Amino acid sequence: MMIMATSMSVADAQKAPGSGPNPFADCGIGAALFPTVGWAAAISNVIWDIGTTAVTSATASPETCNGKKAETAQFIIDNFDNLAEETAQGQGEHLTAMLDILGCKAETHSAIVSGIRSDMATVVNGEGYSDQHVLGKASGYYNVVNSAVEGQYTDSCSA
Amino acid sequence: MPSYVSKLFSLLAIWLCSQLVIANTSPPATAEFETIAAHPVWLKLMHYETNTSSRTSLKSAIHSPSFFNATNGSTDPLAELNATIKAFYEPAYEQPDKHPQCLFRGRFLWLKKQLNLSAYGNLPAVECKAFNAWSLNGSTESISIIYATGYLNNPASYYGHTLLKLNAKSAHTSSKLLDVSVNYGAIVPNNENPAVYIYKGLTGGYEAGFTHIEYYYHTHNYGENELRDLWEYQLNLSKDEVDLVLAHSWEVLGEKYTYYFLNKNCAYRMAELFEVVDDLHLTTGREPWFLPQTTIQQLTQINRGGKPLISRIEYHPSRQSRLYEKYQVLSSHQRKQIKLIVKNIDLLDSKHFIKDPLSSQHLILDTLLDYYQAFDTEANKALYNTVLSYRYRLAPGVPNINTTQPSAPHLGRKPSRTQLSGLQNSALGTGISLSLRPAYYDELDSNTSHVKYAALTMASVELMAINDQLKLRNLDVIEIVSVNTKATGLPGDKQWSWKLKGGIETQNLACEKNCLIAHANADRGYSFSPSTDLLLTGYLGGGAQDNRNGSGNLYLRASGTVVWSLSQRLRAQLEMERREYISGMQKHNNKLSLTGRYQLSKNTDMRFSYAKDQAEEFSLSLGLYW
Repeated sequence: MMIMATSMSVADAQKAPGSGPNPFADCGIGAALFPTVGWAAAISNVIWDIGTTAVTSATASPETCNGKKAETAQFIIDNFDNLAEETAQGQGEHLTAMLDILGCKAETHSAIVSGIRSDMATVVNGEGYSDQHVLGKASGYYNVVNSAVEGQYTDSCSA
Repeated sequence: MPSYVSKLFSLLAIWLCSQLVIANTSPPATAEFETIAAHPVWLKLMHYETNTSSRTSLKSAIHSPSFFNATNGSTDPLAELNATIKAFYEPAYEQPDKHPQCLFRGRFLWLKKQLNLSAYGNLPAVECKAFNAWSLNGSTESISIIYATGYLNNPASYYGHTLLKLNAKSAHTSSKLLDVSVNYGAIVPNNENPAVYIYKGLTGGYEAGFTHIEYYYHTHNYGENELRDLWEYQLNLSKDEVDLVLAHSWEVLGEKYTYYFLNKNCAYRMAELFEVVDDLHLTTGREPWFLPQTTIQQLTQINRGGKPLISRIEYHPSRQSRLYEKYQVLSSHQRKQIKLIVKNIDLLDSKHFIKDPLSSQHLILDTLLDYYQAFDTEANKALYNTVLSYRYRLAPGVPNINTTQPSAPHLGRKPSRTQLSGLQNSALGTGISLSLRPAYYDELDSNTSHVKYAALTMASVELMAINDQLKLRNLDVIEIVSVNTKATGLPGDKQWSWKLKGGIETQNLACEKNCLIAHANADRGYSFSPSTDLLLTGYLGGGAQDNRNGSGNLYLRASGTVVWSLSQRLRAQLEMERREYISGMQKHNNKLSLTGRYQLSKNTDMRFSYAKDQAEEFSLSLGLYW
């Protein structure tokens, strides 16, 4: 059972300036994982060779899609609600896992989460946020995380 | 020397060398090989099962040709052993990951320990990059088996599910969510007809296989989507044993099996992965049914070298369980706040909420987030986002709540039951009955890992010997009673109940001849739980049945049930039913039953029952769980 990629555009997947390729926009992750609707539908269709098939094929070009970034993007899509809640709380196992994927040193996690929380507070309270598709929200969250890591913590995170 | 003589010598030398190489890479079958080919671990590694149609009386459960090196490898352990060893000597491939040493990693590891492979020639050194990456370059330090509790929305998941988790060293990652998990499941087409699904699942109509993915996929799917709790049981295995289970899991990934819902299912195949460890015996191949809870109970009973096989047990509550955990510890003020906010989300701005201490606001908002996620309707999605935005406006922090972890599934009684009863029937006289219930629980014995006061029974049969006759009394194909004693009472989370039953039953307690009727009924009800020890439920429903003795085919009914836990060991149930027949000569019927269950030990119980249905019957039963 394969996940069929469609031509769905990922309008919200704008990459942050200077942040390199965005897995949502440049690697086709969103389209591969979301043929028509939200991720619950994707999951129900993915019983055999779950997920990895789609992401592997979608990220086949190493020069454009950093493996860790693609992995982070998929993790955010799959766990977006948990991440959004834990970010509001300031801690949580999903946050730790995400920062582990990005290779961020444990001692920097707290500060990075604080930065993500600050930006996400603006995003979540922004107009139209509630109406966004989960993929758009996940993409926005990815951009916030990427900005937080790429700036002050580039050296502390090996992504 | 003439040039043609020189060429002849050269050709002769090449031929001799090639023969030497062939001789070296084809170790002769010896008595030692025959011993290894019959070794239980080799048979397990190849998944041989008894098969009377095979010349060797064996046939592998795997039917992918790619799993075998010998053409007759699926039925001949010795031929496959010879061919496998020979394949290990094949020269290095351009794509090393496709070399037999990499593809059949479990076999390679185990045979290296049984045989001095270098004695047969030059064993090529092959770097298995794909396997090494998958197994985290040896950083997998332990293995856990994950038990997902039952799921009443899918018949194949009623009895729970098991999967494997490969635990990376903490230096590799501090999050277990990123650990690799191995899962076994049937390959089912999308939108399969439910009847076809059940039929094919029972009769081997689906292929099945192992897959792998990061563990977070399962925590999300089970915990957030299907609202099932996960229990992690970490095994105390040596490094070599971990490596072997890991390597064997790798070599069966993607290979095709045939899926049988009752016995050769996820729990069975998962248990088989551990059986490549020489002294672990969890399956016999003769089990008529094999339940996930059985695997857990077996593993927790094993001691090796004076140490329990299970070294750690961890509970991962689902989103719904987390909601109930929080709701349990809320004060009456906080519950009132939540009910008001659910009715009117704007009250989050009210002074009544804002003036609460920060820790209370955290707890209220987090409970609401859990509630809106667990009952994820379109209307709730927007409300969830509103609550989330308020959560961001507060300072960060996690509410500190003390909850009692539920009893672990391995601590429960065994799943199958045989019951012997003595009975006195006012119409039929004195007799005995014997019942067999393969699985799983009823309102009186539902406990650890079951839904309290609920029932789930399949293929339960009761025979009765009375008046020198042996007769079938009941055959319940399926019986489900679904209740929720923990419901918050918030919209969408009320104590609605339902029950479903189908099979063959005796028409009434007074019936003597031609009494068995096929029937199916369904009811919808509402429960009231004044305390955790008491559940009262009222139902309205109906059913269809054989028209026997003027009963007609259709009926409507109203019924009520009271279940009361008087102590840890003693529970009683009162059932009343009023049935109105839509067709047939009989107009209506009343039924009443009162049953008490006393738990004698973990796996034995005693029941006293009084029932009235055209006749009266008293019975005393002894039940043995196994």
